[in-house]
Amino acid sequence: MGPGSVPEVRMSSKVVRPPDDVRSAYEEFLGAFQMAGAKANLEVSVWRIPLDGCFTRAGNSTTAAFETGLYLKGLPCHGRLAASERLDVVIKAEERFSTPSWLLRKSTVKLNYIVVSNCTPRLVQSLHYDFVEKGQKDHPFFHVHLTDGRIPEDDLRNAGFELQLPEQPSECWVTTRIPTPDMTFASVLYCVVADHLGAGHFKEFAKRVDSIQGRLPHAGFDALKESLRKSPKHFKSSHWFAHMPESR
Amino acid sequence: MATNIKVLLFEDTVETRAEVLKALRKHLKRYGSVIPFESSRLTETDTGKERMYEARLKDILTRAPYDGGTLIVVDQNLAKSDDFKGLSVSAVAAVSKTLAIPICEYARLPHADDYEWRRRWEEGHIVLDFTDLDELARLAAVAARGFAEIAARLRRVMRDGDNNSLATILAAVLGKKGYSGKIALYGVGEKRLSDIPARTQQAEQEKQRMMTTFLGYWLWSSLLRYPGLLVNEVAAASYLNIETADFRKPRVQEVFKKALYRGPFADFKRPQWWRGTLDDIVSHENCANGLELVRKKVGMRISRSKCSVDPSKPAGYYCIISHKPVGLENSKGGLSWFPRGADLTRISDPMLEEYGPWFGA
Repeated sequence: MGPGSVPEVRMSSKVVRPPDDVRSAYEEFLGAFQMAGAKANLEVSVWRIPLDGCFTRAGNSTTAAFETGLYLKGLPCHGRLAASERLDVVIKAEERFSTPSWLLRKSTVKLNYIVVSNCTPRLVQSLHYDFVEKGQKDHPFFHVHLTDGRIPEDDLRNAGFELQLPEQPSECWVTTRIPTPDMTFASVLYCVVADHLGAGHFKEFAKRVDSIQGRLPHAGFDALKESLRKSPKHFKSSHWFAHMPESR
Repeated sequence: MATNIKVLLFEDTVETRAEVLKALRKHLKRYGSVIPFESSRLTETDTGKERMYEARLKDILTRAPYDGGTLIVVDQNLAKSDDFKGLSVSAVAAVSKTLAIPICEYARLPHADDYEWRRRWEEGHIVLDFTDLDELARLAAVAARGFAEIAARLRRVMRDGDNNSLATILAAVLGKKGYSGKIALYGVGEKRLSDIPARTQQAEQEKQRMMTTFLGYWLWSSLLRYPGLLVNEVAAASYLNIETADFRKPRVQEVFKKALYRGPFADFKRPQWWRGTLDDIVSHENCANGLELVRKKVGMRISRSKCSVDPSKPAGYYCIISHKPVGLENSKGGLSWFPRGADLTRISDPMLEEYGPWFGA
């Protein structure tokens, strides 16, 4: 697929219209993120597909999918880069909802951290935040997975990243899964602002998106709630794992 | 509906003045009056007549019977005006700006449809085509009623204190407070900064008039022109994936009635819909798009919307030049002169090929 072209799936009749509250929440959140980036001199490219085309029907009439991506060029980074280097990040988000409730059932947000030196990119860190409502065997319900996985080429291009990553995989000795809070797409962007754009920009961004929060789809995690409910006085980290409800 | 509308008509040709007057009165109905500007009936001293046209007009428009105008409707060519030989529309426009009276200029536009997309806010006022007198008068009446409605709503909004920003105020005027963020996106890239009401201390009445004029122009020239927050008939049909002719069918229109825009400048001949409410109507029935919903609800044969460039593809968007439905891959959006909120506005590839260099595309 050449630069500027739009994936065929978006042209099909699979595009679905979410409620105004949901669409506008994503629209406003992304707008606020772009604005925070611009204020911090961060170049933010958004997915080639307009937000309206990012919501599609997934399989059946009661499931909708959301797919988008961002490319952050020159992310402020504390001290580790040489003067000729910059840190870029490509983010790819895939979420699934049950409709018409628009409850979040699944969320995967992939991040590729890429150091670019003299137009030569190298993948230095890859991770994805994961959540599946019913859990995945032996996985924490919400977790970040450190991997060596690259975001697929087409998705990198759609996000606006045009450089060619080297063929050889990056080094990631420990592909561990670390339990996290509910790190959905919006939460990940929120943390990126907090971690990289500085306290002043974060404060302003946090204030701006506060009113949006209630409109973003809520994650459904009945299985986790059920696990906690069964032994409320014995709170332990194993409750965060998907195997717990089954093994009790 | 506001009933104290006063339209001031500037037309230098006596016969045309009578015709425009009659047509305007017909369309304003009982909601207002039209006062023709007749310099022969003015009571000016000889010294007064020696002043600049702008100074004379300013005086005249603040005295009875011309004071308190809701809208000035003015011919582009006023050269034959008695006592104001060589008067230009720019002199009237300058006075209208000083007094914060909205202005609606008319002219015979050689290619009115073509002109529609070319004009932006350059004129700083509304420009209508004079090819069809009745349509001109109808639209001028829509404009006059719209400004009067904004003024009335604005009084309530300012009293209630919803005045943090221009977008917040317009959102409150439109009765859609939740949309202030989206409306703000229609201000991004706006070039006519000089029209934004000053924050200096002004008399409350003057502030209200300036705000009314500004919000009216913004609504007419931006929000209602570039599909995004609101969608016209073609854009709505395209967005809902319904063929435009099918979307016009009364039974189909009934399905989306709740989304119909009824605010200032609402025009039954050129209806617009709230895009967000269209989304809600569709998703409430758990349908993927408007076509699926209409097929479910209306037992009629309904066709899908087709891209005007490649009919094998669905549309979804609106070409601001051809006024036709267009698909994503055969068009370009986000041009520098589009308001940021106009995310359904695009230019089809053939149009882009023709005019690309002028668009900064």
